[in-house]
This record gives sequence, C-alpha cells and structure tokens, in this order.
Amino acid sequence: MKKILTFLLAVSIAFVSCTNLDETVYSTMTAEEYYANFSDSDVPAALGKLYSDLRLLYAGNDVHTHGCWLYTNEEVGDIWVTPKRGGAWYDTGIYYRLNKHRWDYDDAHILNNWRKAYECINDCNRLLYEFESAGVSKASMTAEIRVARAFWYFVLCDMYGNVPIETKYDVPDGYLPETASRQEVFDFIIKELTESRPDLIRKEYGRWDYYATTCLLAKMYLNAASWGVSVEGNAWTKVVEYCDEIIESKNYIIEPDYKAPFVTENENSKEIIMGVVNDEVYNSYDDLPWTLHLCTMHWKYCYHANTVTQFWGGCCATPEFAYSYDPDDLRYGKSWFEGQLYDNTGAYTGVIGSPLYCDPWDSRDEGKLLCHTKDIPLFEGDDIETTGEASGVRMLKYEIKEGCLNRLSNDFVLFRYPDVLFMKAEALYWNNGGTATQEVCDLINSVRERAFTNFTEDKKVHVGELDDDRFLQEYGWEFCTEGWRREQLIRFGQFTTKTWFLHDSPSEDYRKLFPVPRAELLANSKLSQNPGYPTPNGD
Amino acid sequence: MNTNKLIKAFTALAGVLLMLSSVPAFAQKSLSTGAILDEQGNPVIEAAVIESGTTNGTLTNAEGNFSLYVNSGATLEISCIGYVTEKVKAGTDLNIVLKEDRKYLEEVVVVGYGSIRRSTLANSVATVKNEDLVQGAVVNPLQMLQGKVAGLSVGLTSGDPNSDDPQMMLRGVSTLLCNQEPIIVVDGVIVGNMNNVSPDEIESVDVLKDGAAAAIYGTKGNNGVIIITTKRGKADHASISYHGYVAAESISHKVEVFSADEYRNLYQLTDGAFTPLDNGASTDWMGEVFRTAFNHYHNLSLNSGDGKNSYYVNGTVNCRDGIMKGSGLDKYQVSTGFNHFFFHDKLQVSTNLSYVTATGTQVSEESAYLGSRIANPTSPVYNPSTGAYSIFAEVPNPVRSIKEFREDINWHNVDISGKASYAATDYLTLNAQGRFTQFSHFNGSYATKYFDENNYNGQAWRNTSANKSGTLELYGQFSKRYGRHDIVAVAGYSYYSYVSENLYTYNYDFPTDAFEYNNMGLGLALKDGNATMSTGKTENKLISFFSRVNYSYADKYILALSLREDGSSKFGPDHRWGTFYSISGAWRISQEGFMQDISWFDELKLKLSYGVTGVEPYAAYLSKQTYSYGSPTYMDGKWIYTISPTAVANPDLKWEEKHELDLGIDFSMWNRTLSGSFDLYSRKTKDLLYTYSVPVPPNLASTIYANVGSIANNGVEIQLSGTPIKTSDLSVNISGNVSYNTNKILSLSNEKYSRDYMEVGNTGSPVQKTTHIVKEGGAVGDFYGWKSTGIKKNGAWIVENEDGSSGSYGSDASRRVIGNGIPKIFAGLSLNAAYKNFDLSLNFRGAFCYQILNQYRMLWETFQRGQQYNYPKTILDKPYGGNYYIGANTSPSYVSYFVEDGDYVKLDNLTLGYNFHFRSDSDIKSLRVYVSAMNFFTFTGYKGIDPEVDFTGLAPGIEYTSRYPTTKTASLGVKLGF
Repeated sequence: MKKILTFLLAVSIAFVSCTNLDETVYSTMTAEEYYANFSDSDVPAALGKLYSDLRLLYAGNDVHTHGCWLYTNEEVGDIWVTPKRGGAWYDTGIYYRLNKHRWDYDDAHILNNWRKAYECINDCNRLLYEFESAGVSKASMTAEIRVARAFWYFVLCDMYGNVPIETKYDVPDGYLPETASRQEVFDFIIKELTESRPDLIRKEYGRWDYYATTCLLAKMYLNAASWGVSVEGNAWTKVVEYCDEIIESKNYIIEPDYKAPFVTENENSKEIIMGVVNDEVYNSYDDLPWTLHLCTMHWKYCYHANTVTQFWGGCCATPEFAYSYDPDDLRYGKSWFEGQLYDNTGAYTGVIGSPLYCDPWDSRDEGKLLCHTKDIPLFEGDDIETTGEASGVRMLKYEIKEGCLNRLSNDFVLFRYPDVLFMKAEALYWNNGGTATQEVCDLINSVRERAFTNFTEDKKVHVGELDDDRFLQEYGWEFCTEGWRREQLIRFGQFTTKTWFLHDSPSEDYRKLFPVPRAELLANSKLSQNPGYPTPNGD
Repeated sequence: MNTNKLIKAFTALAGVLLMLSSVPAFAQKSLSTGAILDEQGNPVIEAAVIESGTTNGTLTNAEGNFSLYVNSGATLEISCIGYVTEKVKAGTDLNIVLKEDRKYLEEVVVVGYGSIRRSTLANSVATVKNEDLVQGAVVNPLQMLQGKVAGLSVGLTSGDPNSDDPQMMLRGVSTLLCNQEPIIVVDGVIVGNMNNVSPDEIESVDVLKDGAAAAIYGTKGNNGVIIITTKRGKADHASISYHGYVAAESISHKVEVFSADEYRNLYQLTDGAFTPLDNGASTDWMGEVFRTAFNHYHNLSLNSGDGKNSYYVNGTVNCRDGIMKGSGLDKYQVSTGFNHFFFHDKLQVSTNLSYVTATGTQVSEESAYLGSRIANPTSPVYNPSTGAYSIFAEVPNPVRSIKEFREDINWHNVDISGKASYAATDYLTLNAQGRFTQFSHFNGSYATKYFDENNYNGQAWRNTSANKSGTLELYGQFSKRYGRHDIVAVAGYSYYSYVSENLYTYNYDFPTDAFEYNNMGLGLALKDGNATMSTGKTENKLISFFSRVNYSYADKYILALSLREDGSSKFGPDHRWGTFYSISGAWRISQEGFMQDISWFDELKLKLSYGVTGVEPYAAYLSKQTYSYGSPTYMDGKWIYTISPTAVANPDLKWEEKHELDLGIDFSMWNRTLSGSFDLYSRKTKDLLYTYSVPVPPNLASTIYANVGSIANNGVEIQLSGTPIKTSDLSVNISGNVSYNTNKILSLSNEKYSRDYMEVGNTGSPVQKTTHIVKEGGAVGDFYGWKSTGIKKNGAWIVENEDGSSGSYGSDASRRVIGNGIPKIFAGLSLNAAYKNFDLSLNFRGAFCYQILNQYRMLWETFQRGQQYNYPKTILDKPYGGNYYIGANTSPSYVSYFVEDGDYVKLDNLTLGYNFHFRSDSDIKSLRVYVSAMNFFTFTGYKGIDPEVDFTGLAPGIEYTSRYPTTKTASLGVKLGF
C-alpha cells in the first residue's frame, strides 16, 4: 500500500509540474519580446518595412498575384497585351479579361491590389503605434510613415475610389471599418501629405523624402478632376506649383541617356525622384522577386543574352503602340526588344550565332524562326484569340544584364524627373482648356530631345500638333511599362472609349474604377460596392 | 457498373451463409439442480445449462444456481462464454466448477491503454490477425492492412522506394487540415510512422474506428487509431526464424504512347490532322527510363523465453531498387528488448530498442517520367553532331534527368521505449511507460553542369534535420468483477513534446562536377552572395489526462465512458484545454434467455456509441503574435533586414471537434463459421480549423487561421468473414468488407468569418486554373471545371452549363462540379484456402464512385503541343465519338473529358505457399516456400497509370504527370523456423 501511495504522490507531483504548456519560440520573436526590448536601434529594421512593402507594387513570384499594381495598370491599357500563345498564357482568360475590360470582382488582380495596399497601410498604422508606445517617435519618422500610408491610399483612391480610411492599429474586437467616399479619401490624403511634408527628410534616395512627397502631391491634384473630386482652389495651379518646387530645387536632371534610370545599377541616376530598391542578392527569388523580364522574354532568350535564368515569355507591346513610334525615336529600341533570337552561347545548337527557332508552343509555329515582331498575327479558326510564341515585341526598358538571375537588380522607378515636367505640361494644357501652348510644348520637347540623335525641328512637337491623342502618345513613348498607363488614359477620357488591338469595343464608364473584391465584401459587411458591379448577395 | 456487381457479390455471399437452421422439438422428465462456480469459487451467472442432444436448457441465476427438468440418465452441458464447456451427469445439488477458457480469454481487443474482452466491447473495433494480413513483398507494414478493414482505405500511390508510406483514410475526410490519417500505436505507444517495425514482427492489428473508441486518444485519435501489437517479448521457448524473399518489380501499367514507327505514321493515322517531325532516330524513351527492378528482403529473428521472462533480437534488411533507373533504397533495421518479471511477478519491466537506417538515391524522377512520355520518339538521346544531350522545350531530356541529377538520401530513426507495470493488487495495475524517438536525415543532391539549360554551372544541396519526440505516460488499470458486475477502468496522464531542427544549404557555380555536394563551399554563388542557407527550430507540447470505465452487467449489458483532457501549446492560453469524451453502450442479445433457443447464434451484439475527438493545428505558434526578420531593404546607406509580424495571430483559436455517432451490430454464427459486423455512422466536425479571409483593416493581413464551419460524413460499413469449408485436408476462409461514405460540407461561415467557397488545387501550366472547389452544400474533393460534351471543327470544346444550356470554356458562369476525387465505396475480398500442405490466398480490393483528373491527358492530349512531342495513344480517339481530333487548334483545357471514372477492382495479392512438415525431434520446425504477386491485375476503365491515386487533402483524385508510377511485384520467398 505504501508503494501505491508513493506512486500516487509521484503522479500528483508530475501533474502539477507537467501541465506547463508554455513553448519556446526559437527562430522568430514573440510580440512580447519584441515590444519589451524595442529601442532606437530597432528603428531602421522596423521602418524599413515601409520600403520593402513598396516592392509589392511590381514584384512577386506568382504569375497571378505578383506585381499587381504595375501589371494591372498596364494590362488594362493600350500598350501592353498578354495574348494567348498556343496553349499557354490563357489561364482561363484572366489577361484578356483585364485587357478587354471584362474583369469581375473575383479576379486575382482585383483582390490582390486591394489586399496588398491595406496590408501596407496596416504596417504604417502599426509602426505609428509601436513607435509611439516605445517612446521612440520623432517628427520626421512620423511624417515619413504618414506619407507612406498616404501613398497606399493614393493607390486605392486611384483604383477603387471609395474605400475605408483606417488609421488605427489597436482597434476594439469586432470593429469593422466603413467605406468612405472618394472625396473623403482624397481629402484625407491631401491632409496627410501637406501636414507631414515640412517634417520630412529633405532628400534621400529611396525614401519618402520631401521631394518624393511633393511629386505625389502633384499627382494627386493632376488626377483630381478625372477622379471627380472637388478641390479647394485651382487644382492645375497647384500641380504647377508643386512641380516648380521640384524643378527649382535643381536636385534632378534629365539623364542624357533615356536608358540610364533603368539600367541594372540605376540607383545613382539623378533622374529618379522615388525609386524602390531591388537587389538580386539581397532580395532572393522567394522574397518578392522583380520578374518582369521572366514574364516577357521567350525562354530561349537565355541563349541570346547568356543569362542564368530562363524566361516565361508572355506579355508584349500591342502592334498599334509598337508601330506608333517615330522611326528615329531611340526610345523604341531602348524600351522594346524586336527581332531574331540567336544562340549566342552555342549551348543550344552547338554552333555559336545560329538562329533560334520556335519550340513550337503551337504546332502552327512549326519551323518558324524565333523572331519577335511588332505584329501579333492571330491563328485562324480558334475560338479564343491565339497567337504564336514569337509575336509581339518584348519589354526591355529595364535592362536585362548578361548572366541575369531570375530576379532583376534594377531599382523600380516610381517617380522620375521627366514625369514632373510632363505633369506640369499637362496641368498647363488643361488649365488652357485642353489646348497646347508653347510652354507646354517646350516642356515636352525638353524630355523628347534625348530621344533623337538629331533633335531637328521636325522631331519637336509643335503647338498645332499637340492634342489629346498626341499627348497620350507622348506619355506612352516616354513612360511605357512604368505603371501609369491606366491613369493617363482615364485623365484623357479615353480609358473606356478608346479601342486597341484585341480591345475592340468601348467599355462601360463604371470600369474607370475597379470593383471591391468579393472576398472583402464577404469579410466586411460594412463595405459598399462601387456602382455597376455585383455584390455577393445580389443586392 | 462495377459498383453494382460488387455489391451483388457481397449480397450473394451473405445470403448463402445466412441459411436458417431448424429448431428441434422439446421434452421433459425429472428435476436436476445445482450451482455453477468459477475456479475462485464465485458463482457463474447466466451460464447455459443444456440437456445434451436436446434444446432443453436454462440459465444460472445471480447465485449461479439452476434447476432443469431432464430425461433420466441425461447429460448436462454447461457452457458460458469465457469458460470451457463441461459435461456432467444430471443430478441434484450438483457443484460444478467451470474452468476459464484460456483460449477465449486471449481473444481480447486492444483499445488503448489496455485491452478488454471482445465480448464486452461496445465500440467498432476491427481486429486483423497475423495470418489474415496481406502476404507477399509489402514495402510498408501498413500495406498488410490493404482491403482488410471496412472503412479503412490504405493505398500505395507511388512506386518510389523512397516514399513508401501508404496513404490512409478512415471514414472519409472530416477535417480540412493536411493530416487526415489515422495515428499508429505500436505496443501501446503512439508512433509517427512504421519505420521501426518490420512486417515480420507484427502479431495483430486493431483499428479503432468510431469516435467513441478513439476518444481515449483525444486529438491524436481524431482520424482513427491503428494499434499494432508485435510479437516482441512473448516467447515461451527459444526459436530462430528466417523469412526472406527476392522480388522483381515492374511498372504497374504503361501508358501507351507512340513508338518511333507509329509516330512517323501519324499523318496517315490522323487523316492529316498531325504532321510528325521525323528527327531520324528511334528512341524508346520509356525503355531509357524504366527497368525491371529487383529487391530482396531478409528477416532474422531470435526469441527466447519461458512465457514470462523473455528477450528477442530481430533484424531486417530490405534492399529495393526503383523501377526508374538510378532510384533505390536500402533499409536496415534491428530491434531488441526484453520482458522480465520481478518481485513475485508483481513488477513487469519491458524495453525495446530499435534502430533503422536507410540509404537511398533519387534522380530527377518527375521530369524523367513525363519526359519519357512526351519526348519525340524520333529524337536521339544525344545530338549526333555534338554528342551533347538533345534538348527539348518544356521538359528536360529524360535520360539527362536520370544521369545528371542525383539525390543521396540518408536517414535513421532511433526508438527507445520502456514500460514498467506493477500489479499492486489483483485488480489494480500501475503503469509507467516512456518513449523517445529521434528521426534524423542528412541528404545531399547534385545537379551537374549538364543538367539543364540554366547556366548554374553545377548546383549542390545539402540538408539535414533532427526531430525528437518524447512521451511519458503514467496510468493505472483497474479490473474487478463483483458478482454480475464487471468493471474495467483506466486513468492516467500523458506528456508529449516535439522539437524539430533543420539546416538547409544550397550553392552553385562549381569549378568541377567532381566533388558533387561534398565541397559545398567551392561554389562561386557563395562568393557572389547567391548561395542559400537556412536553419530553424520549433517545438510544441501536448499534455493529456485520460480515463475510461467499462462496465458490464451479467456480460449482457455494457456501458463504457471515457474522458480525455488534451492541452496543446498551439492554442491561445484561454483555449488550450479541450475536453473529449465518449459514451458507448452495447446489448449482447445473444446472452438473453429468449435467444438460447437459437443455438446457431454464437454472438449477437447491438452497439451504440457517441464520441468526441478534436483537432489541433498543424503548425505551432498560430495563436501567438510573432515577429520575424525578412525582406531586406536599403536604409541609411546600408542593407538591413526589416522586421514585421509573421502572420495574423488568432488568440481565440480553439480545438476543432468531431462528434461521431455509431450504431453497429456484431454477430457470429454456427460456431464462428460466419461472423461479421455492420456499422452505421454519422460524423460531424464543428469549428473547422482553416485559413479564412478577414477584412484588412482592422486585421494585419487578409487571412487568419480560425475555427469556422462544419463537415458531415455519413456511412455504412459491412464486414463479413466465413469459413464455409473446414475439414482436416481442406479449409477455406472468405472474408469481405464494403464501406460507403458520403461527405458534405455543411458550412464555411460563422458570425465572425464568412466564406462561401474556396478554390484549391492546380491544373498546372499552361491551363493555370484551380481544380477543386470546397463549397457549402458540396463535398470535399469536388472537381470544379467545365463539362464538355464534344469538340467543334475549330477545336473549341462544346461546353454545357449546369442548366443544360450551352456555355463557353473559361467563363466562370459555365464552371461547375464535374466529379469528385474521393471514392464513395471501398471494398475488399480475401480468400484464404489451405489444402494439405498447400495454402493459397487471394486479395481483391476495389474503390468505386469517384473520378480522376488525368493531368497528363489534360495537358498533353492535343496536337497543338507541336511536332517535337510524343502523345498518348488516346489522342487517336475522337472525343465523344464526334468527327474531330483534338487537333492543332485545341489548347489544353480543364474539361470533363479528362476527368475519368476511377472505379477499379484489383487483384491485389495472390500468394501460393507450400508447407513442409518435419518430425517433432527435427531441428527444423517449419519451412514454407511461397510465390506471391502484388498489385497483380487491375480491372478498370481508367486510362492513366493506376486508378489508385492520392485521395487525401483538399484536392484529391488528381493523377499528376509527375507521379512516380506504381509497380507490380512478383516474389519468391521462404520462411524457415528452428
């Protein structure tokens, strides 16, 4: 019996000491540990999140969700197209739905733009809260975070218009934010930017500094009219004022070479006002890789350009746009890859310099040379428009360096100086009732100049020539593949009225805004859908 | 079609065996009285007292007394389950002592933390004895259970020697989480896998099927429990035995593609729809990749003991080459231990030490197999002018995949367990058992400079891990009979901890291929900053208190209750403890007086049970907000890591619960000539754990791990076993089982989180679509695509909408459920026959009512792919008997044409053995020689490799192009005993 008692005693002791379910966290940190030890030295790592978040605009390794902002805003426009190539790149129609303005509120791009923006906004709200709680807040840091947050609201205001404004991190349980009107969102962004601007770092590459913020303010006012929001005073004058402030600072130049802001080591370009840093070494493939080159180039480009990586070969320029360049415009060759691919390494054919042929992805391409053309001929008789693997010129604006890996090192250019000159020109143009003046033409010519070896009079744009269509073309030639095409088309009233390549009929006016994604409507009952789009319950 | 046939076959079998027997007449003369006692002098209640040769009889009362009018000079037969039947002359005031039937008592069922007599079991527990397990060249001991237990499906979906763990499913999919497989308990201890048990060590297997039986294991038992009892430490004499076999393996079914000559004729064969590209050579790519593989197995075991104290050593060697050239696995396992009694047999101590080590090789199997089917058969392996590998788009040269990439696999598993049982009194035993196990692996891979088109210039990987788990369990068992009341109870405590650590390294750009992965630092990618290194460590704990009481009254009415408290560190502090319980009752109708006239019923038992088990999340730390470093950026003039929250923590995360109701009948007739069971069950899972969308803001990220929704599984299981012939020369045993399960997703929403559906699975490139939908009202495994009814002249699929109207491929409005990947019916049929020295066993197994997405056909059955490829021969079928081929204008599409019926019947195992007999003084005690075939023949209309595909997870029923084909095996074996 004594033994039993001893045993039971041992068991009871075990019960007490062995009900401890605490677990050790080894390779991450608990929130308690993080907060308890937070100090000034932790600030850069915490603040750095603002900038690694910006890579969500254009980077990623999932073909349907990566680089949502860049891809969405270009695919829906008249410059990019991702045609179905043989059996590939149809993906049950997602690219055609974007290009032909037939997207629905379930599409991955629609959901991910929304989600990524709000995840980034949350990071900003969190950082404001954490810095405040830890007592490490400084005016310049608070300003920087508020501007970073305002930028994401700018993205939302541009794409979805009516969205909830959330500025708090510690919200009560069960709290759900409500949709705010586009006007409220616009006013909020302006307030945040103007209040924060004086406290910001003056100038530092890759940061939300004073000038990047000034540029964003100019963009806000430039879009105000097309967004249908009212502005105190004259919006065009404000655009010009902000642009002048940047111009007069003399911090930025138009690089003599159009390619300079887009080369692999572009971080030293004095043209860039706001760049997002990338590095093939620091940002590995599983950490938001910048894969534009993979999306556009044919896989055999690896033999042509001696790269380490292979490619996927989908998106290219629409024929109309490829043909629209002046034959002497150097920007065409610096933005697009046209022509035959060769086995420059000899690894594929065994003979260096042999021309490469189609794989083919479609049996109708059998025996054809792998030569990228401006034309995108469609195969006859297919239900769904289908082309070959070689058609269309490919995006080469961002340099693809020799030995390139499956992610680019080129920094992403968000704002650059020529954009400021164009914004000022456009503001003056609209302020003049949509008619060009010599000042407008001078501004555009100042950017055009480097595009021509001999910038003779006939290469300049003149007052009589510069109408809406030409202005849009000027934007396209200079800023293609930078993510602003949708916005430009909307400002010039052509987004839903113009037709191009496969986008052969105008679309509904409500498509100037994207729908609130279905998943978000389901998750938050306080959201309201944009006009024209369905809701999950059908009401 | 196949389904109906099988059901009919089972019905016929049951019908034949269920013949009614006649009831003889009745008579009486003089009174005989007496008392029936057991060996301890306790009355035996409700023992049957029958006049020999008649049906005249009665039962003893609570004091063990009886009285019965009999013919003069009659003999009484006294029988009671659990006792040896006695015959005595009729008389008055008889005192009859019944001896315990040792054989009967041995028929116990292991139910977790103890065992109970089958007669007092109130749950659905299937027992498979050693002799009934699948024979032959099994690659994993669990394979021996294939087709043996109604409701338990065990399938080997890969022929890869390096992934020989079969998939298992019990009673349908009841959780959305990845782990849907039953747990395995070996000799009382939960183990993660069967690595440390050799097939020859298995004595018997018990499968706890219903939620009530499994509830004693709480969360671990949620998907059912497979309890393995080994032969370890039970010897009553010294013996040495050897079992060995040699086997030849080949691909189970070759998908037919065109040979070089056929390919050259495709223009004629397709009426001009396809023009082949003749590259001049004739290559049999399948032949380049596959081979007939040989393997051999040897098991030597030494056992010694006196029935109590014993020890054993068991060693197994299994060398298995893969059917894909370059792949294989050699496994060496040894286990040893002892079982010893101390202190007048009151203390029993047993230990087991087991070690297994394996070395294997893998090649780039996925691409090699696909390549062997799609590489142009007129292409040479090597470019004749350069001598380099021929290069194909989309898929690597299969020979290159085999020769230029190799992964060397090394793993070992140490398993140490011990148990001490102290018999404190006759009725109370105290137990302490512990187990420590460590699985470690250290693999190395190398892709040479010639592996692919990427200019990596040689790539090397080296990775290692160590997973340690420890279990400590303390429990007491109580067993006592008070007159008619029989109580068996158990209560205890369990502590489980798990720690996992890993290291991964990758480097490329090596000066030479000579060192492979053995000089990792030499790759220039390390200097360039492109090498990868990562390490990690996680831990979690599970603590439990458990108890169970089995009460039976007069061996007639049985009540069992169990209660378990599981505490998991994966939940938030307020939700860590989950309460799981069960209540079960059984009524042994055959023990009732009114049944005594029906003498052909040995046993008839009605069971009803209700049990609750739970599920914890797969990953640790989900309830805890954690911060991690990641995504470097450039700040203040240097690169730094940024820090941010890892995911949205859910401190409200709680246990997912499965509630299960089971109604069953067990029966046994004509002295066990026919026995079986019939079960109806209904399982409902509440608070499903899964990833749900949440609004951002206020949440940090758009998805959260939460408890939402419920799933129901309802089904029927029938298990029958009969011995229609039993003579001294010939015996035949037939057993069969069939199970039917339906699955329904009841809800995916609650007041806080809502979700009307989720799409899962992936068709692969270039179709790029999800394959399955998980939707309220639907079932897990629903394929979600486009229903095709024909193909147009322009190559477009004719698509039909749900309402029968015509739709269009790719449009969401036309998308609908086009099948389900989980079989609704599983069935098994085993036949064991022995004639003189010969024995024969046949095992059939089938699954019905499900579909398979044939990914290879979906992606490659269209001539649009181009002339450099080969195609499946099914491409010559014009879809739906129409007029057009799937020609150059048809893109690979996710249409129902490629979602095929999977129904199959397999002759899974065929074994013929011969037993030599020896004189009793011979040194050799036994010798058996056998030939056996595994996965011998499959009856199916399915066009892929094997209709037995992966049915676990949320995207079941896809046969991927990357699948390592299953195999069929012929073996010759010998078993020798000394």
